Amino acid sequence: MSNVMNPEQIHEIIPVDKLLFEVMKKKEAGLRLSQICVAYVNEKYELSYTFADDDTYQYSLLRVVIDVFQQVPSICKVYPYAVFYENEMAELFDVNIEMIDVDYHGKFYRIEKEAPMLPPGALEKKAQAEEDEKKRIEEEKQAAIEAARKAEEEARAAEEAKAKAIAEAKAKAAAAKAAAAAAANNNEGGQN
Amino acid sequence: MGKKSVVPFGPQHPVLPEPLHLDLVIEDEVVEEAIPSIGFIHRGLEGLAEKRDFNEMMYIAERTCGICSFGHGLGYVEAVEHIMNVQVPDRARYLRTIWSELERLHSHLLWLGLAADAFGFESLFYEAWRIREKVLDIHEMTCGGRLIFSVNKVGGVLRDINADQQKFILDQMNVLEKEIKNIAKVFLEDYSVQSRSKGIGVLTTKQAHELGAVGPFARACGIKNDIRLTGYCAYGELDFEPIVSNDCDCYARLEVRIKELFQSIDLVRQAFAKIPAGELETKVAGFPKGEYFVRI
Amino acid sequence: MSLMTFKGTMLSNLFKKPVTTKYPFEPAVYPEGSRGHIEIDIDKCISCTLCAINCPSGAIKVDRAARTWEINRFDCIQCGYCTQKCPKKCLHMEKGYQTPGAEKFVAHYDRPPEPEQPATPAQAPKG
Repeated sequence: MSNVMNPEQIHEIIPVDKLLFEVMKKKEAGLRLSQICVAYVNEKYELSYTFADDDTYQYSLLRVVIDVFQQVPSICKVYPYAVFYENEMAELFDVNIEMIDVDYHGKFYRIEKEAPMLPPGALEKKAQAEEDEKKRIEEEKQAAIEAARKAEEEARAAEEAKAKAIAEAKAKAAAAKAAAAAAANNNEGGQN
Repeated sequence: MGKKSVVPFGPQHPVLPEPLHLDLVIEDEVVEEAIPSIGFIHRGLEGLAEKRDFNEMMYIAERTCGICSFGHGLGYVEAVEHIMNVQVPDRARYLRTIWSELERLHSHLLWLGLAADAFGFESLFYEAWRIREKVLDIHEMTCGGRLIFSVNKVGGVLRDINADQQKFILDQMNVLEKEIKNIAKVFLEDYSVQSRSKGIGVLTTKQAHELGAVGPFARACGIKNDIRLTGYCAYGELDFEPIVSNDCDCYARLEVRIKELFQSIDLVRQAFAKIPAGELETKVAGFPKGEYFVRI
Repeated sequence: MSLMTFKGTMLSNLFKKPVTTKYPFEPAVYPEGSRGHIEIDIDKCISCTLCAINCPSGAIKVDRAARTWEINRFDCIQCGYCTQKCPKKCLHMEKGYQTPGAEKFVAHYDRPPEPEQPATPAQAPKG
């Protein structure tokens, strides 16, 4: 019998900001990128990056779940042939992938419809979600500016109050000293 | 400095390289750039899988490619069976292995014929395809179709190979072995073939690994990787070693494929010696729910 | 490395008859079990329309009320799924492919008319 090597497949779910690091770890281990695929499930994109080990026949999978408007970095600098998969994802599913090595900008396949693999109405939902996200970021920025401005005002008011308090205390001290000096003078005059 | 013009060249469909369209940027009869457009074979069949019954999808998955149609159907059916936890009976597994190897015979003979045509040896091209016709006749006798088999089903296979057909196939294997030996001599020892293939088109092992090469191409570049060793269908019970060459050139690719032809004939004989009698399919109830990745 | 390794095959091929058949002047020979086209035994059909619903290419059309069964042989992809789905097993595949033509046409089959029902006692005139 030939020796059969069939290890269990490994599935890992990672957040999108760890993607490049995990992919580089796979490259360091000498794995070959097998394929990248995407599915539109529950109004989110599920990206699956699969890697194969040519010596042990181990098949491992990195799963990234992202919102429709989120940007995903390209792994073309690590695996040059990911270009094909990423262009296909960007064209058929309208996934926002940035920094692809050879970017066809939606002209990879000559097709008539935009993002044909998405269910009807999904593109509009995605545009709406992008608008909402932009508004949310703007609002957060405005709120942050407001909060900073308020904090500055409060700080300034606190400082003014402190300065006033110091001035009053000084004035009081000066008045007390003057009163003490006057009292001492009176005593001396009385004695003389 | 001449004017540049863009000439659309295509889409053309030579048999083995799937349809391709090139936009040639020409300046005074010299081609400066060739911008490819690919993906004409992509017809959205994966999207169709969302709309069709999962049993019916097997016939659609098979029609992805004409040369490797059994592989596509088998991959789809194995994935669904794994998701639904269906145990395929032994006889069905062996039959699938036999048809898989028969398809490998026809596919390698097609490639060898086209390689001979590419370096101008047209008689050798026709000789290889004449031998391939014998394999296609076996396909039609057992499955009903020359290239599209339509014999897989979620849970097993649809047709059986009876004793007469088995005897005929084993006799044909003897005939094929003799004829392939004849053309193997020409491919591997002829002076004009060697001068057109030795040292030509070198892809080093490191480059092949960087570019993600798979299959016989990678095996000819020194990467020892044969997915049949993961033991799908009945390959776990058959005896074979992956065929690897370290030369990394065109000649190595010819050599690997010719040796794999002989290995396929041997695997068919081994499978027929070991095939058990039994059921052809398991009854399947319900619908698949889940995900799985299959490699063929 | 040798020169002219192909000469043996070339010389023997010069004196053999051609492998190809002179189709259409000689008939084409298909092996048994070849999936050529669909044939129906129309007497057994019950117009359940399962074959039409399950056909991957939509080549079969069944009219329940008119008791007809139609197939567009040019659209048929010869997969044989309808033969598996038919509950009465009245469909089977025969060898011989549909010959090319200038336009697509539909092969039409009519079921035999419903046999006359004998008059039931309730319908007999009373009295």
